[in-house]
Amino acid sequence: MKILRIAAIGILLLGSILALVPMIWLILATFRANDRVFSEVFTVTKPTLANYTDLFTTVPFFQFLANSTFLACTAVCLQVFFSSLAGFALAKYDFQGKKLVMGIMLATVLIPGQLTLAPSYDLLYRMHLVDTYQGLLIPGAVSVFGIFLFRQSMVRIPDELLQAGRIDGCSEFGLYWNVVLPVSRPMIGAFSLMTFMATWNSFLWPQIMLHSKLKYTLPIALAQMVGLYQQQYGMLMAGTLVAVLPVIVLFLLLQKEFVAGLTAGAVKG
Amino acid sequence: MRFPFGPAPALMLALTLASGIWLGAQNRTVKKADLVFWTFSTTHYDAYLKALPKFQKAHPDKVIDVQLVSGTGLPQRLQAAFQAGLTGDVPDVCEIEISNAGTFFRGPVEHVGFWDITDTLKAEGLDKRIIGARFTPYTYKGRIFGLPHDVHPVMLAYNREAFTELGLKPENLTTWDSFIAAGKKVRKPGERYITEFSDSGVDQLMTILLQKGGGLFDANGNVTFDDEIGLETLLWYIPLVAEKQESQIASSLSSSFGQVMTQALEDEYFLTVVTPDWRSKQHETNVGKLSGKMGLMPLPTFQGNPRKTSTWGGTMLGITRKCVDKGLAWDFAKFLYLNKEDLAERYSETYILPPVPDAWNEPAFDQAYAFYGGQRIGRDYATLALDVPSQYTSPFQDVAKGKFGQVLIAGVAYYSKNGPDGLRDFVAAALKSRADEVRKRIARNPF
Amino acid sequence: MTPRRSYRVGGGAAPYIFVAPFVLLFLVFSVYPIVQSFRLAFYATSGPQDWSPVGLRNFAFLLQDPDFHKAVTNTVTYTIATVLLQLPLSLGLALLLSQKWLKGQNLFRLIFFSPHLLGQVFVGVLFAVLFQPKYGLVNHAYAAITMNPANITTKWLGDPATVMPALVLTSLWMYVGFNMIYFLAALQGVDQELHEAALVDGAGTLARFRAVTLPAIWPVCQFVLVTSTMGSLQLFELPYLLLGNTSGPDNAGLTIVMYLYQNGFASGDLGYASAVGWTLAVGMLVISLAQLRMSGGVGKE
Repeated sequence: MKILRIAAIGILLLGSILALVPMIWLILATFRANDRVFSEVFTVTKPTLANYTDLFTTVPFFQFLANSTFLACTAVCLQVFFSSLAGFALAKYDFQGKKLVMGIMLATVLIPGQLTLAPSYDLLYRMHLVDTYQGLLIPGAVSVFGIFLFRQSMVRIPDELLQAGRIDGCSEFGLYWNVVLPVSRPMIGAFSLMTFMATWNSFLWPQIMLHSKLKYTLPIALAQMVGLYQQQYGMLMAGTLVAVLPVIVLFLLLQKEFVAGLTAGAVKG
Repeated sequence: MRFPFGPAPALMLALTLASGIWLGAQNRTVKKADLVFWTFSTTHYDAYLKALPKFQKAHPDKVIDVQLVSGTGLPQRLQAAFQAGLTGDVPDVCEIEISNAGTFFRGPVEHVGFWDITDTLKAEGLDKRIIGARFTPYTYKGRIFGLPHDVHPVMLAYNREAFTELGLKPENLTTWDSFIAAGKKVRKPGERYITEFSDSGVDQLMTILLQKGGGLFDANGNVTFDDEIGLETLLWYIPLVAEKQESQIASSLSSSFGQVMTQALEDEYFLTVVTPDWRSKQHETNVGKLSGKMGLMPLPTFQGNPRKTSTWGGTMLGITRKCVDKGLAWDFAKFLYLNKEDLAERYSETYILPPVPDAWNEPAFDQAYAFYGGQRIGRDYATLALDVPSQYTSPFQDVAKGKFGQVLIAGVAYYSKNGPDGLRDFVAAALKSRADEVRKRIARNPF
Repeated sequence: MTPRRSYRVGGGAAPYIFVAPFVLLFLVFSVYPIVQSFRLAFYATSGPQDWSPVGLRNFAFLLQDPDFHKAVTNTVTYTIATVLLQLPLSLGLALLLSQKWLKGQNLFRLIFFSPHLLGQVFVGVLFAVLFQPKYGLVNHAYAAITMNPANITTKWLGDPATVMPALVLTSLWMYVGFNMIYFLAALQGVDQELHEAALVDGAGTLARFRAVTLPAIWPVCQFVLVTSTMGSLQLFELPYLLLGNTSGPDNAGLTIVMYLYQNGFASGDLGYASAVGWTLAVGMLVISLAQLRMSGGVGKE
């Protein structure tokens, strides 16, 4: 049995190396001068910060960083609020049309987003929302996935708790604010991270919608830097690293909730 | 009362406010220019910035903003902006690369994003001064939308030192046959090839196709790459690039440009490389280690065809519909592209030959270049320039190029497996079917 | 468990107000576009401004277009490859990590999951550099492992034959850890008593797996299978960035959504983009229904 255990650990270690090596290479590569990026593999003989300074001076990278931050954070705020509210309504109330709403939500899961790309763009054009952040944020302010998640976790809240609140004279919204939300914090944390990640990394829709360079998000900016004629790998790698750090940091902070939230939909079923 | 949503959303909210405020502050500092000019080429950008003060002196009350923008995806974005009613970043004047020009010529003529300059050109006699062949890529339904920037003759850049070491002389490599023979002699798989030809990308292949007088399209926008010239070109080219075959004399890396190519040239991985005039400057800038050791020679010739050059690339200048002061824009365009004295100066900065033959008499074109061992490359390019072949484009340029490339790849695969037997029939059939695919797309377009 | 919900006295308008934002946004930004897409598919457009009715020509062209066939072939190949390779790997890793005697599980879990955080765009950019011939990391490893120095010049992304393997490898790197999380959670829910009982009965490891573990985690397997398939069919950003904003040599990396983007949006033809979108949607619906039927019904939600 010892052999099996050693083999198992061996596999896990190998897997870990495979998982980490690209990131390690990335980090090291950003500290090599542009013309020496490929001269070494896992060492940095003449570390330099030139790539980072180039990144923020030749390209308005800080602007892109701010754009992505603004969009992702605002999306989280909007989606957390509206989805948790709707999830609460669907979890703890019975009202006319509830079945209809649930049915519609189920139906949307089946529809791939790419189907509505073209007509959505056309609609936003008619609303004069092309190339605006409102155009990006408003359609995505509520997330069906989020509503499902919140509903799932809120169903488990004991009704007695809510009744007690009502007896104390709490309004329905007050119930939401004072009773339901605090209890749902783990799920909120998980969903925040998921939404942040999805918005931060999103490419296709912003690419179609945004026409002004100064409004670009990080994925669009990076895709542009993959130019045909001038490949400044050092700077490109630096940009990639800066772009992925925020999500990694956020994940490290919210690990536990994230895993719990992710599996809630799949497992507890 | 604690924030009920928890720490993560609280952080998000804080960041939203912080970034929102920062972004709001940024937007306020946008300066208003009378003329916004975009270019995608660093070379052009540097040259124009140098020339700008002279133009400003003549127009002191106007603010002119020359910007360098990323070339990747630029045409699509601009066209999307045009199609969405000029929303977003739309400049007043813009340089567009030849292979992308077709992007803007879809849809009804009235909605093309650039101003129709046909009548203006005729009125000022400019259609006579500029080499006629250079207008064709920027013409749509008989109307001209772009002012051509260049003529882009092509030569081969070679490594003088390596040539001497290996006993090669440009005088002995004036035909493709002799070039290929030399290529077989100096070939060392994995270490050295006489030139860079790609077996999957079509840049060098197109250069050869044009040298032979062929092309992807004809003057009327019909697909022509499956004609006799196209077939002959492919049959000639495929054995030269098929990896690990006896006939191979050329190879390629992941990119023809950038650090990868610089390293390859310095390592003598490629002894020569296809070099249009714009690239002659790039070599000087990027391949420092070979300073003084490079030279330029005309393209070897094909039997029965005296043409020693081809063309690769091109830029047009277009005035967009967003432009309010069209007079100013037109003056600026002429200033950048057509003033004789400025052209000579521009040439010294960019090494790019203007499409205006009467300007080539200027002394600037006789300068000797240290990087090229004292060679007068300007004069050499100018001598070849009148012989540059015509190049016709279309909105379906990208598609046609892609499909032509597919035939190349399929042909190389076939040759690697079966050798020359049956190659002709295979390639002819592949060309026809791919060309028909492009024709179907053209037929589908209702505009 | 707790008795079914009790219903409000005076809950009144509250639930309606709470779901109102969702319903409103949904009607405007989901329902309307879906209806509109059905209309758009019968037009060809030059941007949102110029529409020209073409009847069924979009679909006719689509169905005979060799590029679309290539896109479908690529996408299906990719989907099958990822499902067949990824899921066993994810499950295997999850099983390994669930071993009682193992320490540092959280650390391993974090490490395996981290590639997923980067997102398809940034992974694409990074791996495009790693797959460089001669200078890229992957080739250094490849030449070393196969002990053949000539392999260092392998043009992963420049050779049509190796583009799909490169894509699948990259996607494995990104998603094995992600799906592993689901399996880990599922494995935690397996009833230990059943395992004990089977052990007492003398069942071997494999038999125990088949009889106890597998049925317990089957709903999660279904879930992962369906989501992986759906996700794979919609693949766009990873190959697009990996291949430098192109579909690769000979369209080796062309996926259905990439085809939609290049033939629809890149030329401003929203009508054609809608036609492709509908074809994809119908295809995905058929496949997901088939999957659900084959895996024996649904325990969803």
